[in-house]
Amino acid sequence: MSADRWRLAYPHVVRDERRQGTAIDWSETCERCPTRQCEVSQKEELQLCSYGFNFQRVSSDLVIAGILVKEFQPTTPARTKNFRKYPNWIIPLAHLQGSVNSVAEVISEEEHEIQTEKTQILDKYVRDEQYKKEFLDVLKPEIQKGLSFVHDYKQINSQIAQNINVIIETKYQGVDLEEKLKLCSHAEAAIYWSSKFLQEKLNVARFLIQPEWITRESEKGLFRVHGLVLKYVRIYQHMFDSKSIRVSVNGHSVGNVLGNSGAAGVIPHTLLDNALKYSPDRERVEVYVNDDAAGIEFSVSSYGPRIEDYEEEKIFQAFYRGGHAQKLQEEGAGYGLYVAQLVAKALRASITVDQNIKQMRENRYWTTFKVVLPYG
Amino acid sequence: MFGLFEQRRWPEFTPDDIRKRSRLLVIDDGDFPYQTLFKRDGYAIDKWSDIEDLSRLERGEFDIILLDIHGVGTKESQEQGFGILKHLRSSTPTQTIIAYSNADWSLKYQGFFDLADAKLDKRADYVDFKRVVDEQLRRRFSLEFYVDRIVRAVGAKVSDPEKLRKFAIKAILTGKTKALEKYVSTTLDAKDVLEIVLNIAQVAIGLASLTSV
Repeated sequence: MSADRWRLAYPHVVRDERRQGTAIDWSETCERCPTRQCEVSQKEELQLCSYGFNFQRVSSDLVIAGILVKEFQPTTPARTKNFRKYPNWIIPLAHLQGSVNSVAEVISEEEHEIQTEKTQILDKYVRDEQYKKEFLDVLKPEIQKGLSFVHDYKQINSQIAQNINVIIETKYQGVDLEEKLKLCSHAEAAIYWSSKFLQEKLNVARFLIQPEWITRESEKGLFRVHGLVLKYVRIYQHMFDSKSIRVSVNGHSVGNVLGNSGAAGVIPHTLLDNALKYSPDRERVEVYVNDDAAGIEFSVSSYGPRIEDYEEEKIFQAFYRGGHAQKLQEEGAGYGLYVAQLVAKALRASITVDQNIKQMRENRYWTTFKVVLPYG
Repeated sequence: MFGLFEQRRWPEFTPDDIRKRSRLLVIDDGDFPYQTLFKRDGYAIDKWSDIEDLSRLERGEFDIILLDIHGVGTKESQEQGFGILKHLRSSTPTQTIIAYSNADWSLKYQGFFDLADAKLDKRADYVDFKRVVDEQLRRRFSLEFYVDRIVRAVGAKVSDPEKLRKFAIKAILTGKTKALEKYVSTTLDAKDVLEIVLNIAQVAIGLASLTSV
């Protein structure tokens, strides 16, 4: 902010620097002032110091001080004395308000310009994906430290997974695991699917910590998108059932994609995870997988939090969470969609979001996340 | 038993034969709940919490080793499971090793997984474990497995891998290694490689002499 642009008639302080006014200088009393109450107070209102002078803070950087405002009440002996000693320092309230208003306007314009400039720089930074190289590199050790529990969780989860497998395998007869799972008690099935669910959750963290995995040559191969989507629908089915949410899978797809199928799983996982997280109970989630001319279209539609226009790109940034999403669900790290988009880009695609604000349920709007994956 | 030029056929091993003949070993400092399921399904499976006897591994007593990377082999190698895997790769070239660990994320351990015959996620279902083990056993009881190992042991040092392959097949099926030995020693001057090739051939000859259980 350029403080030099302000030409003030009255004495003022700009960022701890005392400046004379063009019409009124600092009084002798103010020059000798040991307390400088005017600089300390953060209240943006007309006040009176113990030496009998008026002052008003205009912004965090600017205070007009050392003046005697004619209409100010109540008065004090010091102020009465100043009125006699410094008659040229007396000004009408309207003059002060005029100055404050014009300065406030300049400040507001400048702040707006700065904010616009900041936004432009930030948007360019994000568009160029420069943040991935700099911001995330800087954050990486912190992220790793924060996710250090992941290894312990994996250990615990492998014990849960193996033991529930032993229970299911020894207790039930069937030609395959699918059949045995159908015979399981609700509690057994819940443990089994929760373990799978946790495994997938932890897997997303893997690609956040080590994005090199996404494009690692050794992990690449052809995979069927429809099969991959169905795998995640199965993993999430139990959780959707517990909220009485109906999930339908439509479309026809036999197409393959070339890439890391483990990483690609982050896309259906994240979109289904968000649908589960934000959808009201007893609602529906529509999954669509279809072979189109341009590629394999995959989408998940459900009722979700309002996404403002300016948030449509931001929700794919690392650690950004939509304002309405935060209100609906306080908890959330904000990296699911970021990693999913990272994976989509590695597959030469991009996830887009579309929201129908006319279709609404319980303060949520019909939202479709879509990606078209090129054939392998 | 066989005539001078008689060539045996590689025995047809049924999945049952393979399971009955094979021995599995899990080396993991943690629990391995799937051991009970493998036993139930007719596999002979042992579990070590650490390297109990390295010489048994070097002798190739087990058909498949499921090896963890962390917490095992600390006395033998600073690299723990990875060190054991590297050692067995050179000492026992026919050993099948499945890398099985929770440390599958870190890129620094990828050498461990790349060097193994297969990898398994500790959180995988039993059916996945069984499928991978069965696949590796099927490979291990095939002629192609041993021929591949011989070609791999010689590596790029041989100009005609197809010719080497033919010598290897003949040596395994006739039980006579002279021609293979001559071909390898005239092609390259590396006694250690020749020794490995002949060791692999001998293991395969032993298997080829088996009839079904």
